[in-house]
Amino acid sequence: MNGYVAAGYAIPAAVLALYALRVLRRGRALRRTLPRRPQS
Amino acid sequence: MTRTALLSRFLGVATLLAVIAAVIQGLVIMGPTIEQHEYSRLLVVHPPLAAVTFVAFGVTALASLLYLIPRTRRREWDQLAGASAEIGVVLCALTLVTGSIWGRPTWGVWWTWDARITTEALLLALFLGYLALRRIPSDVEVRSRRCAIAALIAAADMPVVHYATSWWQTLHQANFRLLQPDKQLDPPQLLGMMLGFLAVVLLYGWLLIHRFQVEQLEERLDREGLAQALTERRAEGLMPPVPAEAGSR
Repeated sequence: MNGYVAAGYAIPAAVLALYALRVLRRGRALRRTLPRRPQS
Repeated sequence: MTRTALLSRFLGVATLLAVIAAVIQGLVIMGPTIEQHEYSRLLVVHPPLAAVTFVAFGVTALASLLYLIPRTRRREWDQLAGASAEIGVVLCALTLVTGSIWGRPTWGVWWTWDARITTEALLLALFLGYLALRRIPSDVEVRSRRCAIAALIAAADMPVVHYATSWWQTLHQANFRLLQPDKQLDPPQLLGMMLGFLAVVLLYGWLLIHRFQVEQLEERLDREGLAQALTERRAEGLMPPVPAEAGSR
């Protein structure tokens, strides 16, 4: 496969996957830090 | 399972399927074209990223406007604006990177000061400034109002980016029009681009749900975390000091 085409697909895929992981991890860490709200 | 969790799961699965379909269409089914050779395969990636960047910044602008209007003002609008802007910045940066990757073999340059590309880079810089402004510590209401105004100023660049190819002579192609038969793409290319658009828009929706939740949790941490930390420090003051050996474990 052409190198430019490969980079054009691989770079966005890698960046978006890493960004999605970062968002998920941040959410998980915040949920762990915050005290649970009392159930009504 | 909550409704949001269900929607997130649905969007996650749909995104994955759309990405697989778009990659197969772009790399296997779509053949090289006479004009652009192998590089036409990047139609599946670059235009969808550019289009969804506009969706993300558009949502930020709309949410900011709703926050500024006293009748519709809600904390959620500010949180939505912040969440969407961050995703928009990632998509905008990727639009510039993929455009550059396509530009090198077709135009012979990685970068040129073309009106479309320059205004897109300016859009990225403006929204990076918006994200920086959100990080400045200040009263929540003051910060939100300040950021909403900044978002509307940054969004004023969006029509300039869109019309750049009509207002100025540019190296960049003119805007793609779906309903103009003389500017139509071949069916495999058109399908590839549509699948790419579907994949990126679904991914944006999935990311927005999670990033919005993070924005809400961060605000809750600011509010409740401080109160809790103060309570804990006060309690520590009343309790006997922890022995050195137990503390080092």
